[in-house]
Amino acid sequence: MKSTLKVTATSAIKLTPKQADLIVEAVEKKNTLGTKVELFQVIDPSVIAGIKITIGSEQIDATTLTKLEKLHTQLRENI
Amino acid sequence: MDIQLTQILFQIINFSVVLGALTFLLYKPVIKIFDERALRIEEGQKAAELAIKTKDELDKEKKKAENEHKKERAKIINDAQEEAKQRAQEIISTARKETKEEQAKLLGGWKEEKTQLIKEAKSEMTDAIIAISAKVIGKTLDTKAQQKLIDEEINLIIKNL
Repeated sequence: MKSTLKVTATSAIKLTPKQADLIVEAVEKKNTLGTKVELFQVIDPSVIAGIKITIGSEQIDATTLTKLEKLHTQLRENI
Repeated sequence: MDIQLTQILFQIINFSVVLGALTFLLYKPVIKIFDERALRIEEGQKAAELAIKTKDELDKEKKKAENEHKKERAKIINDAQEEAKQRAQEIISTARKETKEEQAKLLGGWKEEKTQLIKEAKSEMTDAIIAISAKVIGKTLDTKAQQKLIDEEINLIIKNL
């Protein structure tokens, strides 16, 4: 029985099927073990816009919320 | 006229005795009294002269002492005034120095406070800008724009995977 790789996609709105497929394909390509990829979608309006993808323990955060937080930190450091 | 020698002689003797008695009993004591009186007067005069002389000397001494006392008093007053002036100058100088130091301290403290306030204001402004930006972006982006953004991010993520 093949193990499943859980991938979570967090965004402010629901992903389109095309977007979901793109993510799954990309992860499957990267995954050399040939594990099945299962995508879970999380709708979280607090991220404002963009997407955050979690693959196992790895996280790729491209949400507007995180970008604004980084900008906030940089501005505060430069005061 | 018969000049009786005996009677003349008797008269002469009588007169001599009276004269002698008067001289001895009256004249000499009176002279003595006069002499003593003259002597007393003389002594009194001398004493008075001496007293006057002594008084003059005492007056001179007194004046001299008064003058010296005045000089000394004037010197003490002058010294005291000089010292007071000097002391006043020192107090004023110290007060000025302390005032300057206090002013510098207050100015330094104020500048520090001002810098801190500006820093806090900038920080609050930054917080407000970010919060407003988040709200504006959230409200501005419609579903289409959101989807477009997601597409872009997915493409970027895929490139970097």
